[in-house]
Amino acid sequence: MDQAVINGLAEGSVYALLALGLVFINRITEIATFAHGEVSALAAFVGFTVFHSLHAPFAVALIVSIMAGAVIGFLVERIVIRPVQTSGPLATVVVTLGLFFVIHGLVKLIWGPDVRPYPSIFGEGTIRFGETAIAAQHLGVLATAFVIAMGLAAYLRWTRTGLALRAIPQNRFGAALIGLNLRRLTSTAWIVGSAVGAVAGVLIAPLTFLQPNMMQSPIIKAFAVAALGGMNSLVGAFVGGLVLGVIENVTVLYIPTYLKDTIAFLFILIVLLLQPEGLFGKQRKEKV
Amino acid sequence: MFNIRFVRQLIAAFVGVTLVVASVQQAHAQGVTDKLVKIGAYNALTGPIPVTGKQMSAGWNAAISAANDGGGVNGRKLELIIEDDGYEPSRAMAAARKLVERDQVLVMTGLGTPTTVVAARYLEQAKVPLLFPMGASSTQLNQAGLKQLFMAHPAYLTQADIIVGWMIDNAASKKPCLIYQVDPSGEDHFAGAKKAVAARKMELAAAETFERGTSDFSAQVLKMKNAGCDFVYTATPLETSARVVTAADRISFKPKYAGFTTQADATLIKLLGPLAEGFYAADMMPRPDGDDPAIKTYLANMKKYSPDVDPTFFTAYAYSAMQLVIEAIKEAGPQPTREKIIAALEKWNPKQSPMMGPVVFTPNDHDGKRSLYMIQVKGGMWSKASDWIVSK
Amino acid sequence: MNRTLIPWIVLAVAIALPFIAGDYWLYLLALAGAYGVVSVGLNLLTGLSGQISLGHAGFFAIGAYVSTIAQLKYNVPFPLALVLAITVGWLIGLGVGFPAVRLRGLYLAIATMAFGISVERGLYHFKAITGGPYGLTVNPPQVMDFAFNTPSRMYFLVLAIVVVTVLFVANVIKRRPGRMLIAMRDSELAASSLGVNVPRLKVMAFAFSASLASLGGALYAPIINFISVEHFTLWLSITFVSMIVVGGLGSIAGSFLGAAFVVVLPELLRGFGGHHQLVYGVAMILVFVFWPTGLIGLLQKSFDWAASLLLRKGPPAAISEAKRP
Repeated sequence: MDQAVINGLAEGSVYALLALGLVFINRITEIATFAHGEVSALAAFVGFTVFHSLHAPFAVALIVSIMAGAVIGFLVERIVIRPVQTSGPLATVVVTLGLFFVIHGLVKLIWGPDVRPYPSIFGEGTIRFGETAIAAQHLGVLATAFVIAMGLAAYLRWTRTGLALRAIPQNRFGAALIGLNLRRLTSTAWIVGSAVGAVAGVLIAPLTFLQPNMMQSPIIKAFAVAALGGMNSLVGAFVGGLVLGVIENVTVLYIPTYLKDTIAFLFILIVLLLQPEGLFGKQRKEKV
Repeated sequence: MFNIRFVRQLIAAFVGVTLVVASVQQAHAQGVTDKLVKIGAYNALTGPIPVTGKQMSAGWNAAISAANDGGGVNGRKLELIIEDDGYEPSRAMAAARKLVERDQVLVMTGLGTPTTVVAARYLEQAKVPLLFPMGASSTQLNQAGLKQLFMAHPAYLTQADIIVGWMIDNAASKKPCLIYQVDPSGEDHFAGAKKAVAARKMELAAAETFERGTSDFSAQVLKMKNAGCDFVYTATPLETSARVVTAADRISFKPKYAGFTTQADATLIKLLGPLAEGFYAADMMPRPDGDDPAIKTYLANMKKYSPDVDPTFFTAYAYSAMQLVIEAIKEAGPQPTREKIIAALEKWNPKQSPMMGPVVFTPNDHDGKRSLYMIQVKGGMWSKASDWIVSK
Repeated sequence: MNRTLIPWIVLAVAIALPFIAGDYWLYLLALAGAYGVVSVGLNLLTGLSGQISLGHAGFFAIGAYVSTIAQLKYNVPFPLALVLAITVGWLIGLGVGFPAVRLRGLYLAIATMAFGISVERGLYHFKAITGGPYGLTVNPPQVMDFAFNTPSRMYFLVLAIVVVTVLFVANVIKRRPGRMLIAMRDSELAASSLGVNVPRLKVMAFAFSASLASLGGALYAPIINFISVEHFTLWLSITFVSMIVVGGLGSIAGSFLGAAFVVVLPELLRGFGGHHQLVYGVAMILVFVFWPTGLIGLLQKSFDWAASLLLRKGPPAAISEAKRP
């Protein structure tokens, strides 16, 4: 049972990490990007090429990945999101879905379908507490997710840029009125969110192996976790991920394992029905 | 009744579709000309298993190129047309139709179990031989009694039966378990494992499942550990077995492992390193590191014609299966037809194939290969652990 | 050109197709027809009532399995099996719609995704009835003694059902329910202040679109001759969404165009190494950025342009000219 809980925390931290960038972007721009997983994967691939073909040390590859993520986020916002920003929520859903296909196709085109192992920053070891064990990588992911969640929350709360970013979803018109540069801030949101995505990509790749399809299962769970935690809450994403992971892994001890995903989704459905804005979401008030 | 806007839309839609249809009316070509024999294949080059698809293409192409360089078959060159189906059954049907109706291929081959099930039905109606596709399901394919379908890959049920049975009899397993993917192949493995234990008046201690695309097996190995398994049959793709072993090791769960034919591959050792020690697998072809001249030729041809793909179980299977296809075409004589090919195949009782050992087809039984032998990782290399085992 | 002749011309072309196109294309067109029916339903839900669904593969599967099992195990005749599929789809659509009404946007997307995945797993779990991963063989539909067992017969069957569906849906859109839907999409608050029962309408939209998706599934099964769990994945649900986007949101003909696009594009790209995903994605983005009305809008514009050339309608006369006595 304890091991199941540990497994849950481990698996959940992966969902949480991937959900964080997504939630950050959504918090500021109110756009849920379906392409987030692919952006993360692309950043991880770029890092791989730097590491493998240019024989750079892994730390350099990591930094390059994060920068790549930032750049991709910037480009996505500029080229694809900006034109449709005011066309309604369906437009952004569709366009990010399209972007998902495009980036996935590009990755396959450039790097081919092969499955490659990916080095792990946290090594391959196992950490044991008595009867239970957790992979060092998973512990690393958990710690990173926590640090990033706290860091982003702090950034939003205590820096000037953070304050400005928070103003945008509250009142776009008002924000512009007091002189905030909306365009630059929106860009910033996407850049930061995608950079976080890149970190997720680099940390998840060793677990899933580097391949074009690597993010297809995790991103769905990440979305679900984001919704579970309330699409705008960073803390919610972190806690939601862990909660989901634990629920999944503990219930699955008693039911056939192929129902694991179903349980996860049923759980989320029930939560959403009781709390349509997610566990930590704030009540949305629509202007008439 | 129809308003103008609606009408305009309908027109636009149908004109668009008609233009597409009209613009692609075919130029017919023969499956067999004076110079050429055409073979068609549906393959999963995109979708969930593109790496397998790539390896199949590599193996097929190497065999075809080698044959063509050796003068072809009865004075004709061979042309292989591979169509992608993305591992989707509806697209496999489209690919098969296109190859048969537009390209007019002589015979077909392919990859995948759900895709083959759909394609086999169509090809049966169209009376086109489907030879040695990679994929196997006892009830749907190997034992389905289809006239046009010939199988050279042992049904997963057969494999599971042999492997689980052998591990109980020869590796002293008292609490056998298995882990399998939820799809027809996995279901087959499960049925075979159940058959083996039932025949020995035993029960499976655990039967764990997972969806394709899963990369975290902590839940499954935990349940198997709790059930006290002393042997796990990994009815999974190769990378998955590696992950299962790694996850199990993490929680200090160390059963014996045995995998089926797709795991009889050096890649497993590469992925697992020292953890691979003691891993069993079933093999259907001689080891690539042996002295067999056929194997040496195969490896040389792979290097020559498909140098960017490392040899794996799938390339070996594809290569040897295509060799058999070519052999069947040869035996159909100077004017090969589909019926002659089938007639030739049904006389293979047995036929010694260069890489797969004996293959047997009779008019009533197209399940051609039912023999395997066990290997085990010893000292970082695969070594033979049993003789050929034949299933009934 | 007399406008009322046009639909008949189109129908004539559609009927003539089997005599010029091979079985391969008839198979693809029939498939596009089945997907098109689903697409129309989804378009009603998303394009007209603004609710997103990432779980329509679930309703598609339900239709396919209900009609197949009814025919195989209970000897229900094909037309009745179709009706059964539609009805079950409707009922389950109601069931999904009720809770779905409380959710919006992304949460709705996740909830519908959960539905789709649950159906997929449920099909696997209840393998005794559904055949699980081994699937079910589907026999050609039979009406009295006439069996639709060739691609051209299937094509006609699908065409007939498509025509009936289109007429029905067009009628619904024209009348009150349709206009209420459009009002609701544009502004829920305004619509409800005008007396539209918004939650009830949303649930109805769900049920209606679900029943169409089930109809599509019931058509799909005999086209492929075989159904199994693996056909009905989340990926398929996403594909349905891409159909309505590319084809044209809110347009019936656009739904079919989008379905044809999705079915035919991979076939047309066979020479180019299977990068159709890339093209889908680019199409989806371009469409929304440049042509929000979708392929249907594009075709309409080109048709109008061609028509104006043919009919030699120059630009409208200048005002000074028109004033000349």
